[in-house]
Amino acid sequence: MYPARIEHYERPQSVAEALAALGRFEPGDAIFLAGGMSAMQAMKSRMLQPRCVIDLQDVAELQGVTREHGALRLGAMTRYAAIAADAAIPSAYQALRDAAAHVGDRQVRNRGTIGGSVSWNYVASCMPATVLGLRGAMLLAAADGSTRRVVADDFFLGPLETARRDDEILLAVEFPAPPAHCGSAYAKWGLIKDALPVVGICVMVGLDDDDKCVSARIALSGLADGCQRASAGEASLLDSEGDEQAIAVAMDAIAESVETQSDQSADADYRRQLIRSVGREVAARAFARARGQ
Amino acid sequence: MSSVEKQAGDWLGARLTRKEDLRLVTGQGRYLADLVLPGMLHALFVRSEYAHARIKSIDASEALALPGVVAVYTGADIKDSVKPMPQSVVLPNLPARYPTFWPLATDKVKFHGEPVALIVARDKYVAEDAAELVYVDYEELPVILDPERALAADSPLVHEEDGSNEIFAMTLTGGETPEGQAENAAEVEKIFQAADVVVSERFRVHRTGITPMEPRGVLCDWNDADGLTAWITTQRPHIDRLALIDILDIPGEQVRVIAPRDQGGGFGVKAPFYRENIMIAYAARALKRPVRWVESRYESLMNVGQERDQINDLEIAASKDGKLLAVRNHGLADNGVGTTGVYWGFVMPFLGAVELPNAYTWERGDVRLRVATTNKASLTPSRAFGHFPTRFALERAIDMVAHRIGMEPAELRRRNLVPSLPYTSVTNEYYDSGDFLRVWDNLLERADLPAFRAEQAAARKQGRHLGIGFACGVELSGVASELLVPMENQPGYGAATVRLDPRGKVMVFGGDAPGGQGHETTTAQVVASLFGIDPKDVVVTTGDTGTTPFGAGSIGARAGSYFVSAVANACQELQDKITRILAHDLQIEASRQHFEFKDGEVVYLGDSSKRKTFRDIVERIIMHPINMPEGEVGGLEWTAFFEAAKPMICFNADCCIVEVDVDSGNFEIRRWVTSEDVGTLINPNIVDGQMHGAIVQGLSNAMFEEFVYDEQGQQLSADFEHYKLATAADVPDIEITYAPTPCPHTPLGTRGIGEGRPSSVPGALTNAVCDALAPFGVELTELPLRPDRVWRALQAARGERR
Repeated sequence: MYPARIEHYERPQSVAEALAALGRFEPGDAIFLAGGMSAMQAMKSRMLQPRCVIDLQDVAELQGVTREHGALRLGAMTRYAAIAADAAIPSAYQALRDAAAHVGDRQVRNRGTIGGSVSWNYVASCMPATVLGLRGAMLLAAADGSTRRVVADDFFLGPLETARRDDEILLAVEFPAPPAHCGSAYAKWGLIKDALPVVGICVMVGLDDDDKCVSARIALSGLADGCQRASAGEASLLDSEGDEQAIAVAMDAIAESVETQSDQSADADYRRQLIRSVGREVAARAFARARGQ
Repeated sequence: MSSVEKQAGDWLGARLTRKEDLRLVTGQGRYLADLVLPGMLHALFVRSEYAHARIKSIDASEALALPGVVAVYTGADIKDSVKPMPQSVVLPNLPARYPTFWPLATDKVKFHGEPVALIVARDKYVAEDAAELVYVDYEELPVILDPERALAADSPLVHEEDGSNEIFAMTLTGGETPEGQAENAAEVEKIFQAADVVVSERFRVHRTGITPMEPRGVLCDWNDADGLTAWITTQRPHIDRLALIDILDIPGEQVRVIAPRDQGGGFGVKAPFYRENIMIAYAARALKRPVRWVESRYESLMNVGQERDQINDLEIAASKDGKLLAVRNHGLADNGVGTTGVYWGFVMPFLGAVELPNAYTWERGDVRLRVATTNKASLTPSRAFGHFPTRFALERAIDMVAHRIGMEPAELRRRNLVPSLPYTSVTNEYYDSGDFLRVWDNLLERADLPAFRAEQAAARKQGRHLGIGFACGVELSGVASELLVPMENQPGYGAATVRLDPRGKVMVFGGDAPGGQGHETTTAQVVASLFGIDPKDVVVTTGDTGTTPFGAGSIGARAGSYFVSAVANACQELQDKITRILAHDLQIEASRQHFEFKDGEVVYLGDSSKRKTFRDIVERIIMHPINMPEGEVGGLEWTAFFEAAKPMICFNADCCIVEVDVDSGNFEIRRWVTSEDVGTLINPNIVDGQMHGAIVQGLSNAMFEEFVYDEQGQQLSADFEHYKLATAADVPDIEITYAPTPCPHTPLGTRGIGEGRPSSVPGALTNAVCDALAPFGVELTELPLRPDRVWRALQAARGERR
């Protein structure tokens, strides 16, 4: 468990310097290091053998949570601990705090970043499904100065795969200004406390003035194919009032339609059951938040 | 020895903070990986990717050509210069099929992770680079993974020369002869035929064990004048020394083994003599340079700490009024490859079968065991050595008997506990002393069963499912020679040297090698209480075969039983000498019993003006040995041994309260209460810590930890993402209570504790879950106990109801 030879270590002070460092290597030969909670393991096991590591921890412009006209922007290097502690995050995006507060242990939350997690896109992780469930978009910059926004539905391609190109850096994860009466929640189930999710569920709902559900997004984590939307459940929640019965029906619809795997953490049947039991609790919390409770 | 007990001062039973902790929590501990010698090389094992394959060829030429690589050894390179295992020092006196093997695989690999080659390089990075350049050409062979199929006549063989995958089989009841055993079995069968109630179930416990915080490591240094010095992460340096002498054929005076003072846990995992030790010593000798190997977590989870893994077909015959009559158990253990020095893979299940009958008065028992070899890592000792599965089976089955006859399981247990000791179990295990009923009644009082039943009934009306579960355990207090000689070919006695210093300080030397249990503190308290000095004036050295008396090692709860008893015996000899000379100096006719050692002084009880400070009399005897009594010489150092006439035990009982969510199968432990007979307490902090650690390990084994092999024998659980350990947030507060009985066979009444302690945990836990699910009639018989298993059992029970 010792890495292969790493020829260069770069510690840029700005995004421009980071991109310049990246440009000095062939695509794939240099990697960005965010919190290092996954990439360091991958290098130690030699799954990754980069020639150069570009450590982003000094890049101030990648840090922190900002808000503008109700929209929320999380710098790619924002740590889980900072997200979990940010009481100003609106009810629409509370799922971010739910998820960030239970990633790994305290040490991991003090180092790991939202940008690192979505860029790595591991199947058993909390952030990709949360960002997907919350309609997040990834803001990417390339060396030529161009930027582009990729919505989560297009960004997460499959396990350990994203739409980020090798010549791009992730600047931030952005969330649009939410409509009124919008709430979200995230929870996961693992065998031990705060473990990687065997099943993770993010639910975001918007209500009209009569508390009727007018928008619903549900995303799942822990599935072999990577994070994904649960459209059967979303459709089922629409027009409901988020009562116990409606939520149970929606979660049943997801459990019955989702393709899931059997592995050493849980077999397919039990994963379906976890989707039901975790999903009910998460959806109820999302509705409560949407109602301002 | 009663005089010693009377002399025992305030330090015995004091809640001292541990002497070890300052250095450990301030980063000043020195572990094996902190040891560096000039010119030291780094070693890395290339390990098998296959569970079972023939080695056709190994090409290490590219690896050898890599700059920085000093040597690469394969099985073929060393086969003629290293003796194969088994060697007698690491061979139990039990009849078994002992496979022959070398430290590196020779003709074939037999489990995923087996060492195939050793790379020695200037640093560990180069060694890893070189490992990728060692090309092994394998021919895959059919893998043997299921212990039942392994025993079929047509099974492929793990060790072909043995002609069978049955490494060990034994009937533990009915005496030594087949006739006696058959006669006993027939008598047992008669009891079963006539019994009101028979419970007959198959109980399975998965492969799980212990993962010390610090994995293994070895640093060896060779020079032609002194020979070999080996620092090994080990619980038993003196045994490792003998093994290195015999296997590498080095003259005994040229081998010194040192277990580092600080070790990050052993729990049995560092008790065997491992093949890796041989190779590092071999390389250091061949290269005449220090060579160090530090095991990675990945290697550790691939190779060691794997235990349990038994199927027990257990039957109980009982009367309808709650008398347990007979127990019959046919055990089958999956030994894995079984190539671990001292224990192979079957010594653990052997002891597990011995300990099966537990604390109950069976009229008769029929206990048998078969152990199968498979293409997995060898079982290695893990705290609750061998009997985690058998105790789970028995304690679960007792609850099933209670359910059948409609009696409280706690009451059924109470009626059948051995009422007075000593007692010899149906498997011929000797229980020396204690008071099981007192421990049990203390538990019930603390648990308040009637209050719980009322709460449970009220909760059920609200659709909530609470449950209570009980279990108990007779555990070894040290391992007597009577058991250790046949089981491990080693002596059980404790040994300690106590050396007094002219400044009035005390140095204690022990040959055992602790891994964090607090020997330095408990030993200091014992010495301080006997000499009437402060524990801070006592230092303890362990683990160095060059400076300590021979000891069988830190195993089987030997500290509180054997080691401190040897220390006490040595102190008593020194007290005798001190008081003889002091009486002479004071010109009085007096001996040991006329003096008190207290508050740094030795005081004549007949006239308290006649006294001397401990330091002054010690300095006088060591430094000024003139005007001595006739026949006395100076100096104050004594090596003493301790061995009780018979094996000794300690006893504990657990109560667990859970709440189960019948929708998801999730369950939460709401309360954990214990009752312990640990004999005389030396340091309650340390004993509490032993109990906390043991119960957490038991829970973690029962609920989370599992070594998983796929159908090709690939180990899928070699990291902590997949091998899940309990965290602090996963375990309940633990209410430890004591109902101690001093052991009459040790000088201070102490008992050795903590080793077997996890074994009653899975029974108490699973009994509680089943009690919660009594309305559904769920009886769980397999571990791990996880929400998915509970959920599935509920689904099945509901299905049957429909």
